Amino acid sequence: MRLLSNLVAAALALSASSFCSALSYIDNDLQIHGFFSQGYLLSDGNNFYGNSQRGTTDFMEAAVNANYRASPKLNLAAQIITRDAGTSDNGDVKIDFLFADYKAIENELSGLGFRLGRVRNSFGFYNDTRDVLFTRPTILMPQSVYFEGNGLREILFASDGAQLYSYWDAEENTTSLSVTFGRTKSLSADIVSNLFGRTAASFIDHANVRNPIYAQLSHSRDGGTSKYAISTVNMQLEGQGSFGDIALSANGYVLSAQKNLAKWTFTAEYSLFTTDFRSAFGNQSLDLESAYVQSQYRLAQNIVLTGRYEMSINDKSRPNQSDSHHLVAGINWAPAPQWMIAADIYGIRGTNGIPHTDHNDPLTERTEILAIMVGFRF
Amino acid sequence: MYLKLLPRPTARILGKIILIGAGVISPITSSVWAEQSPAPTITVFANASSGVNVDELTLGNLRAIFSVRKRSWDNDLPIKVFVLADQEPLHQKFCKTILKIYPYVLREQWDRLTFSGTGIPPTVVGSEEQLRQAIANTPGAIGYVMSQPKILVNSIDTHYRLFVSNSPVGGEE
Repeated sequence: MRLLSNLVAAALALSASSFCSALSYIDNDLQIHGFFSQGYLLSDGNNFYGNSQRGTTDFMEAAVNANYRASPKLNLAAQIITRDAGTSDNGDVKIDFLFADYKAIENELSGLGFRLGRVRNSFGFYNDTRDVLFTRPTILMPQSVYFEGNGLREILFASDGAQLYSYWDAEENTTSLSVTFGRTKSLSADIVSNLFGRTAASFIDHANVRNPIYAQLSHSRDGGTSKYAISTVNMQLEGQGSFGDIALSANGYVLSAQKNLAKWTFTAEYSLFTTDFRSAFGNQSLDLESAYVQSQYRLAQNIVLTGRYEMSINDKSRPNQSDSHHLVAGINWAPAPQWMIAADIYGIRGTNGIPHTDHNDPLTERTEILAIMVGFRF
Repeated sequence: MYLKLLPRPTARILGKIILIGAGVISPITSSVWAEQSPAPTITVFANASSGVNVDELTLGNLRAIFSVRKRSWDNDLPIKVFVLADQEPLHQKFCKTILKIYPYVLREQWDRLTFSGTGIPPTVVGSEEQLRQAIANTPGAIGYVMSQPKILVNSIDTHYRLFVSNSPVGGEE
């Protein structure tokens, strides 16, 4: 049934695409794009999105966006998205981003502007387009830095607020800054459950993320041959429940580096989250540290092979008891520019990144996943 | 005068272009020239309304324009970028020789704009001829064309300007 509804969404996306390609051709002022991707996951050990141990198609992403130049300085942008990912996401249609982008200053070598509304947070190399198969390296994001499975993704991906952006160009390099000031937003029961675990979540009636601030400074050299970025986030999580208030203060830092060559791309990202948790039962400070290294090889113009090793430690004071290791091998093939077929194999030791909400039983320490995804874009 | 100096097939084609006269240059001409003359070069090509002399654009300027960081010309007209599809040889050559950016890196930048809403990516057109027409007919437009070796470029540009009222600027001089 789920697959059927996904296929209906795909048919809608396809028919929208023929209409939209005609539109975007007329003038450059309005562009409408979108994508649809359907995954199949088969796992051993733990479930990853739905009942993947039996094989699941409970992983689908689709979106349509519009970008309109209202005046030389003002752009309007919006995207609606539907995402189905086991119990982590249920296929509801949501506004992914919706903002006005005002470029206040622009001269020969630099520019500065503001975005107001719901904006994507720049965090690491991939966060601002993390739901698009065509823009991420593998079917599942690097769990170590992007926290796909444990409830943090919903907090990380977008903010309602203001984003300031700026750049400075030199002949051979460019430097960009983006700072996002988010409004306080309340978290759904599903997110709370994924974040704190089902038992703890049952005592929490209501939770908010208070005024998150994201900042990213990035530097690109030689036309993107080398890219570097440092990203930070500061957020406070507050909850009220039957056992009093809880508060979680978190500071995150990501260092990113990438080398792009004709055939090869090498990427490394390192993440550190310091957290401070306070509740009626006591306080706890935890530092989460994680990193991955990834190499990609372009076998042909339309075939990319990816290999990645990820490491994450959920508690730096107990590195040997809280570590997880992911080994990923994948292939992306674009049989036509609008299509992509991807297949990945994930070997996971440890439980970091495994969605808790897809399980009734305790997680096992060993997971293997075969993932296949077909994507269409327009 | 140039026509007499050229090998016959080339002169015939050039004659056709002059006859067509609307600035519509058949894509086949570039390949014929490529066989018989020195290799054609790629020229950045902008609509006259942009008020820019593309010869004066630096590598940094071109990267800012084609990466869609820079959005307006100095006369405040919005910059509208037109390109061919990623896999087209002309596009690949433009990226590598003019922008000195790998095409896949540029594609990643454009996809980020598209799917985070942070900019209007270039409009992709279906053929070199459509690219030429889109640039010639869209105020503020910029793109690239395959231009011919010097002697031919001069001829084409002369006729192009003669026959196309909204004449593009910045042909290779």
